[in-house]
Amino acid sequence: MSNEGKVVIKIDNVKKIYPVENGEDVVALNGVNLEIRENEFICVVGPSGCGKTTLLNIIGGLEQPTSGEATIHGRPILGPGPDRGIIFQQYALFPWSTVKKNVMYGTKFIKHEVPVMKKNKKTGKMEQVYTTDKDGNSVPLMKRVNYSKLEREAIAQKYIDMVQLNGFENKYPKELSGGMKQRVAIARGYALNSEVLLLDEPFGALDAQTRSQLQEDLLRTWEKERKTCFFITHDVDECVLLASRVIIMSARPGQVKEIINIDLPYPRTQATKLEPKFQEYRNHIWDVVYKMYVDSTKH
Amino acid sequence: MAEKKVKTPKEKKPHGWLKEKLTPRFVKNHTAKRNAAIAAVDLTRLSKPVNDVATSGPKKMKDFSLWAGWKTALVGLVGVICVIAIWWLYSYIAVDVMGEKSWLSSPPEVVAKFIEMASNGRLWQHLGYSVQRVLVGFLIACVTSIPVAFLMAWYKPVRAFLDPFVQFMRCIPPLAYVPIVVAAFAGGEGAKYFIIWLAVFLTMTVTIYQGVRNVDLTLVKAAYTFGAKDRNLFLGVIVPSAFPFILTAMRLGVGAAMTTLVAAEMSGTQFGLGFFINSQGNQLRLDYCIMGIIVLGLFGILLDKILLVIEKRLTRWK
Ligand SMILES: Nc1ncnc2c1ncn2[C@@H]1O[C@H](COP(=O)(O)OP(=O)(O)OP(=O)(O)O)[C@@H](O)[C@H]1O
Ligand SMILES: [Mg+2]
Repeated sequence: MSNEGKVVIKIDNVKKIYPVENGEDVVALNGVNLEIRENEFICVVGPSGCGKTTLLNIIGGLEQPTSGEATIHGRPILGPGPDRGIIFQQYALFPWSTVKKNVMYGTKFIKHEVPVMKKNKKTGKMEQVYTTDKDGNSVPLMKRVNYSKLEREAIAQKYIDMVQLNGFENKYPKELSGGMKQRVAIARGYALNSEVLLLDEPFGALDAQTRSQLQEDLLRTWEKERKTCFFITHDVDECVLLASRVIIMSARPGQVKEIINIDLPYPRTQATKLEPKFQEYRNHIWDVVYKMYVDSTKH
Repeated sequence: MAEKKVKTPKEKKPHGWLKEKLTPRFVKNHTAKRNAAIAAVDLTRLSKPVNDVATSGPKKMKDFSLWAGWKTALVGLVGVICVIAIWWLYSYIAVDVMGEKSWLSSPPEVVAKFIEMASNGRLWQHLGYSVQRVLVGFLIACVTSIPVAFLMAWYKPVRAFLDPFVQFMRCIPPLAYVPIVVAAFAGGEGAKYFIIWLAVFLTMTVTIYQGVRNVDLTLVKAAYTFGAKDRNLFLGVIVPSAFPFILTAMRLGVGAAMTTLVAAEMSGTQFGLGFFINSQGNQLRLDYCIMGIIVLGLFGILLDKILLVIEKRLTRWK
C-alpha cells in the first residue's frame, strides 16, 4: 500500500533545533525522512517529547525546519493553509464563539466551485453558462466562491451531529468538559474538508466509549473519502486500528525508527482488534516502543 | 533544496557564559552548599505526612464567587454609614476638642450646602460643564487609543516609535503640564479636553496594548490553518480576544478622566466641578468642597457602573 499513490507530502532530512537560552539547544527532530502518499492513513507513535508535534507543525506550516525541507506536491511548505487541516492537541477553540460558530469557522475562508448562472432574457429563467475548453468541448463555466452562511451552517451541523454534540450548539467553550471541547475541535477540523488532515492526539482526552465511537466515525469517513491523514497517538491499539502505515519515532533526538505497513483490510471496526494479525502488529509495535522506553531509562 | 545555515554551538561561546562569569563567588558558594544539603537529605528517614482529621482535616476551600447583589449592596451601605459616622465624629472632635487649630465640616453642613446648590441650580451647571469635558475627552481618547494600541501591537515600528513617549508621559502627573497646555491652547475648552484626553489615552493605550499582546498564539495558528488572511486574523481573533481588555481599559479610563478633572479645570474657567472643588478648597470652604467631591465621586461611580453593565453583557463567554 505504501508504494502506491502519488506522494503528497515529502519530509526530506528535516532537522529541527529549538534554541534554549540558558542551556543546550533542544534537537527535536534529527534528520527525519518521510513520504506521505495520497489516500494514506499514517499513524505516528513514539515516546513523549520525541518530536511528533514538531513534525506535525512542520507539515502544517506552523514551524519551519532548521535544515532540510518539507514539501507538498513538490512545493516547499512556507506556511499554514486550509489544504492541511490541523486538529490541535490543545483544542484551540475560540472562547468568544459558540460551539456552532467555532465549527463554522472551519469553513469560513475556503472556496468551492459553482456553475456561473445567467438570466435568459427571453424566458426570464436562470440558465447555466457554458464555455469551451481547450479541446473544443462545451463545459459549464465555473466560478470560485465562499460557502454561503446557510451552507456553512449545514456543514457545521453535520459534523456537530457526528461528534454527538447536538444540543450544545449555542454553548460557549467554557461551558464544556475537556472531552466535549476536543470533540468540537474535531468537528471543526473535519468541517474544513482539507486535502490532508493532521491530527495531534485528537482522542487523547476522551473517555473510552466516545473514543471508540470517534475512531469508528473517523474510519467510516476515511474509508469513504480516503483523505490523507497524519495522526499522532500514544495508543498502540488505536494506531493499528486506524493506520495503513505506522511510523514509530525514537526518543530524542527524534528520528523515524521503524515504518510498518498494516495489511489489515478496510473497512475496519472495533472487532478488527480481535483478529490475530491485529494482535501481531500490536505486539510488535508495543515491543519496539516499550524497548525504547526501557533503553531510555537505562543510563 | 538549499540547506539553511545551521549555527553550530562551537561558533559561539556556551550559553550563559556571561551570566556565569558575572555571578559573584558567594552566590555560587551558596548555591553549591544548598545543592549539597538537598542531596544529603535522607528521604527514608522522613515520616509519612500526618493526616489527623481532628486537627488538619477536611477544610473548606476559599470561595471566590461573588455575593448576591443585595448582600453586596447592603454591606457596602454599612461601610458608607461607618465612614460617615467616623467623619461626623471627627468633625466634633476637630472643632470642639482641638479648638481653633483644626476644623472639619460635618455631614449635615455638607448636606445643607448640597440642598442649597442643587435647588439654585448652580451645582448642575458645574456638573454639566464637567460631564461634557469628561465625556468629550474620554470619547476622543477611546477613538484614538484603540487604533493606536492595535497599531502598536500589530506593527513593530509603530510600537518602537510610540512606546518611549507613552512610557514617559505615564510617569508625569497631569498637574505638572497644566500650565503648558493652557498656554498652548490659550485657555479655552480645548485645553481641558486635551488634559483629560491625554490621561485617558495613556491609560487605555497601555491596557489595550497589553490585551492585544496577550492573544493566545494557538488560536492565531488555528485561524491561519483555516485559511485566514492577516485581515481575517485581525478581525476574527485579535479584536475579539482583546475586546475584554478594551472594556477594562474604558473603565480605567473613566477613572483617569475623573482624577484629572481638577487639574483640567485649574485655570481658564469659572465653571466645572473640578474648578468648584479647587476654588472652594482654596478659600477653605470645606463644606462646599466636600460636597463637590462627593458629587464628583458619585458621578464617577455612575459611569463605571454603566460600563460594568455593558462589559457583563458583551463578554458573557468569559
Ligand atoms: N517552542 C519550543 N521551544 C523549545 N523546545 C521545544 C519547543 N517545542 C517543543 N520543544 C521540545 O522539543 C521536543 C519535542 O517536542 P514535541 O512537542 O514535538 O513532542 P511530542 O512528541 O509531541 O510529545 P508529546 O507526545 O508529549 O506531545 C521536546 O523535548 C520539547 O521540549
Ligand atoms: Mg505532542
